[in-house]
Amino acid sequence: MAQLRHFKNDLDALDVQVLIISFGAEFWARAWQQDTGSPYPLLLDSERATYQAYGLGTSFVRVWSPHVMWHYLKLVLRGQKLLPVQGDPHQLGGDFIVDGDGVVRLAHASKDPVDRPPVEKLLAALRNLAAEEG
Amino acid sequence: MPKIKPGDLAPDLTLTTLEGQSVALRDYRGRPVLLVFLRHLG
Repeated sequence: MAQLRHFKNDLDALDVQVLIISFGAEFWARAWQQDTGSPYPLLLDSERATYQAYGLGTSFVRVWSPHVMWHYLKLVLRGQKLLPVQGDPHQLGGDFIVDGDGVVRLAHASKDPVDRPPVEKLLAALRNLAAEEG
Repeated sequence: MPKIKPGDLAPDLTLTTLEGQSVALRDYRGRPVLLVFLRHLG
């Protein structure tokens, strides 16, 4: 989220609407929004029907893999604050770019909790899309 | 569970913001949308 916030001007210049989707409880969603300072709408999907519609499942094995544990250990060693997990810790996330006609142009279903596309990759795809439509 | 890939029509979604506003993906037709599904709120 910090990265998306950092690139807000670039996203605005491309007229991109960012929608954040969470299945967390409203109380924790408000806390998250305040803590991250996210400038984007946070949509609640408590039943996770939208997660399922976009093919985002759960995985015990992938969430608790040594690779993921090592990633979080490095963050802690760097002094980064980790918030306690709210909701199902095994739910995986994802990122999707949808064009103005409602067609998916980039689909990234996370294989594990730390598998997210770099914002630069998302921006490149959005710039290509803008060039196509421009 | 479906696997969404580029070229697919995006499944529509209608969800509610923390402010109680109903938001649908189709509301943004004509603009690119970046959907970010959080793993959790931690």
